Amino acid sequence: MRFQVGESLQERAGYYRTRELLRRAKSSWKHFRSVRTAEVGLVIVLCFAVMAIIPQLLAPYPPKSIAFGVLLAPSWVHPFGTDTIGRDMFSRIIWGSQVSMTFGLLAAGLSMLIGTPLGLIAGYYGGWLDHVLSRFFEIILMIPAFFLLVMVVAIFGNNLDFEILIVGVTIWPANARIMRASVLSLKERKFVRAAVATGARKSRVVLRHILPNAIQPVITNTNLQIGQAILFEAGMAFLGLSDPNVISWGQMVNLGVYHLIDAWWLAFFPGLALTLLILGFNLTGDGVAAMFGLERPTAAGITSQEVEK
Amino acid sequence: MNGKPENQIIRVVGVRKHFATSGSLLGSIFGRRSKPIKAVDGVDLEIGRAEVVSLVGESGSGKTTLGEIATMLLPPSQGKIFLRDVDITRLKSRKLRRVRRHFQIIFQDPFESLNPRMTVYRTVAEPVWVNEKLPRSEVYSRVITMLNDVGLTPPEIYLYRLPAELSGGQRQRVAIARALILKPDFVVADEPVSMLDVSVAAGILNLMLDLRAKLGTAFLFITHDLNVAGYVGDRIATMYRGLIVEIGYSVDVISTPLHPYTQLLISAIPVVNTTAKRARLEATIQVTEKEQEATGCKYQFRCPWVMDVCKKSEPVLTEVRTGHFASCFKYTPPPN
Amino acid sequence: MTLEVRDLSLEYARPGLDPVRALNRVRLTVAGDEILGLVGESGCGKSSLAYSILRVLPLNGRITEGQIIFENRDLLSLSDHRMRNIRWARIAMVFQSSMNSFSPVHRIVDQLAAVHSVHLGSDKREARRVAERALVRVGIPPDRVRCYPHEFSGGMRQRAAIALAMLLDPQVLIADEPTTALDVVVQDQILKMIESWQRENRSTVIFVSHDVTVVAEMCHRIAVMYAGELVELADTDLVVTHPMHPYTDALLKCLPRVRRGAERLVTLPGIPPDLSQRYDGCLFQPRCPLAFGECATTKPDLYELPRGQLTRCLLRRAQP
Repeated sequence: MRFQVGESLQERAGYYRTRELLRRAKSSWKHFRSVRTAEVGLVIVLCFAVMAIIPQLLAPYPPKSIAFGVLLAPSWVHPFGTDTIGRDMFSRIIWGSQVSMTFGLLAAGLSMLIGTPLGLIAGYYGGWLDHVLSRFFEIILMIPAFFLLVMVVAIFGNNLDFEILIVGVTIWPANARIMRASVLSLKERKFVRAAVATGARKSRVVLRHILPNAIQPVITNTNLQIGQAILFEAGMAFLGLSDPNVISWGQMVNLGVYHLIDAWWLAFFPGLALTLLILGFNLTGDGVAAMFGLERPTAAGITSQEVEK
Repeated sequence: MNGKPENQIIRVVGVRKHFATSGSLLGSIFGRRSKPIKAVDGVDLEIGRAEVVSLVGESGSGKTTLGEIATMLLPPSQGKIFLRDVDITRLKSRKLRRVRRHFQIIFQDPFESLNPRMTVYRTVAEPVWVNEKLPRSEVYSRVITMLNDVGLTPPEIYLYRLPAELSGGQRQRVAIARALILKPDFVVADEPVSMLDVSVAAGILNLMLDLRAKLGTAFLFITHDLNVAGYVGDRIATMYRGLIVEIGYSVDVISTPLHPYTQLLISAIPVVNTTAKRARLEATIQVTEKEQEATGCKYQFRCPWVMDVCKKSEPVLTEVRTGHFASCFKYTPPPN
Repeated sequence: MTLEVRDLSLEYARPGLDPVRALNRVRLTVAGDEILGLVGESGCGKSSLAYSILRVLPLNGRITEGQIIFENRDLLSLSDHRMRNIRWARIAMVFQSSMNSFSPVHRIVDQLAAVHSVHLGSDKREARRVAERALVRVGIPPDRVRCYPHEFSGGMRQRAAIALAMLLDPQVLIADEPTTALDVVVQDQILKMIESWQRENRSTVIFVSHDVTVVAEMCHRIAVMYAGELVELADTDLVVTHPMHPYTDALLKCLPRVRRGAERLVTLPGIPPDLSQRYDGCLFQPRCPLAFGECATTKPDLYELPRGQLTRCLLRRAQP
């Protein structure tokens, strides 16, 4: 039909491959959208991402400049008002997105990086290794992250990188356990046994068959942990324990709490920003989870029988 | 049993598989060990080159377990399995892995047996990647050939699809392609068509027969459906509670079943011909736990011909007619 | 005429995709005192039809047109309350794999008794008595009646599910693949049970199955469905000896049968059509070995043949 005579099998296969990839991408997107709020979440996250990447271009004024009037209410000139020492709130909100975004993504990323392989090993190899590792997970879980953070700050001072590290290193057991449970249930699936039957080594079975399938719930959980980490940072800042050189929404809320009545905008906008960002990540996470359903049979003719059962 | 020994591809000797049950906590305190489940309780079987042996039985008969043991996905509690002359039960894991290319398995659920995140190409190519070092183009052409052979034509359409984008019959063809791409000597097919529509199933059965003829593969075809067993099998073996109670050429087993259990199975098959009503045999229900422990023939509680000797000793498979074996005291003299 | 399905059409909505047309103007009449077999493969709509009659469709199922007349009333137009009175008391169903439809934390006999007292307002003792009797009637030994579902084998649970369906002596019993996943010996016993129940009560049984041989042995009439439409309907012996629709013929020829010997099975190429699309012409045409030119463009009606045989095939059009 669309092929010339003489086009090789390879070329035709390449064509179909591209077609399949495109179709799958379209289908993934449709699945993502099937959760109605997921798009909203994605838009929110993208907005904040843009803010975090190019704050210089978006912020109308330098965030640390105190050249404006003190405690001005929101107006056209200063959409979010100004704070106690005359800084423009709108610009500060935009700049503040950097801290929250990086904190959230890095801490959650670290958690996934540590938790996934440990959970994989515990789940697949089982036996005493699993026992030992599981106890290890439990011990780490017992550590109250927040208080650890407070202690660290008290001893080592305010260091954002350190804080990211601490959070990442305390929240990973959740991912490890999820990964382990996922691996345990996958181990007995027929396609894993089929891979063993072809003579594959354990490492191949683990990396090529179990890992890509087991990691899905971990990704979903990590998504939630992004919001968790953002909240950690904000909470620390709220208590006045964050790095004062850094612009953080939590810090802003901390300052604004004293002026809730006379200058409500000081606490309101950073609080709103935090809420929106975390909400955005969580909603996107729902969409991503829906995309994993892609592996349910969906194509033409098959759907009807699945649906009718 | 089946002609010359050099023709035998797979030989199962005295295989037993016992599963330990957890038992009660109190029981273990008082030193009462839990009773094991004897899924397979002494099976001998030989399959020759390019021969299809159908293994028929109810759920719980141990047929699936036997199939998994025959491919060493499960080690037997006792017994040996010879692939040609090699005892594969004694191989260490690395050697065993290298030998696996000679025996493969096809599972019942076509969706479950494929990695949902691997394309058809990768699924079918994997056995080649694992077992041989070939250049990409060579692997590619082998996969294409195999897809053609299993009826997934034109192959380029299917190469990059995921299992979820295939129908049940297509998935099972992929599973067959994966199993046969390295031309194994022996394949265990565990109910490969029970989850497929009848029209699709017929295609898969014909495909397996064609590939058997083309590649000379031996099959152990596990099914609960005697119709299917008779269609694909050169020989039929019926299995009851972990034992093979009858085995013989399909024609013989179907036309003159010897063991009462086989007779019961055949009588229970619905007949389409509306003029001749079939004779339905009576059958009692499940064997109780107490009966499971009883000595003697395992079939005594359902058997219409049960005699005294059946309660005391267990019959063994003996040749009643040429090439047709049954384990029943009706045909064999009781041991003295 | 006990139950009449008139021009029933059903759609399943799918989020983000086109809806699937599961049933397309299905017309069917079921008489009293008969066993009607409803045969077809997955996706043909037979289960959907059964669910529609009982009005237990999943949430995304929408009936777009048609009526289901039972005892002079259109079931589809009844209020939920009225339908609940009919459901189970007058029309009951044994679902596919209903062995899994019992609550694991209640005894089987109690679950049946509960249904009895909810519908008929009986007191505990009487309900329990009726339930026990129903279970014994389907072959469950009296000393095991008080067991929990997990203590039963699959076959016994299926029998219990059938006892549950027969509990209120309904006039219509719909059995949706009641013996799939069961061994052939157990299957045989269950079929015998359904047959004798129907004979005693002179009720109506609609037996839904993909297994033509089971249906052919048990049923008085057979209705064959394909892609959401009825393609053949006739007395069993007519369907079996002289199938008038190519699909029925293919179904009969693709089943391995011990007693038939080893002649090679005939297979159907292709797969059933995607029901989210609209097609001109006959839905079976792409796979039909007897298709000719017009089949792709003209949609066949259900043509009536001598002896009440109905078939949806252009080859049988305008027969006297």
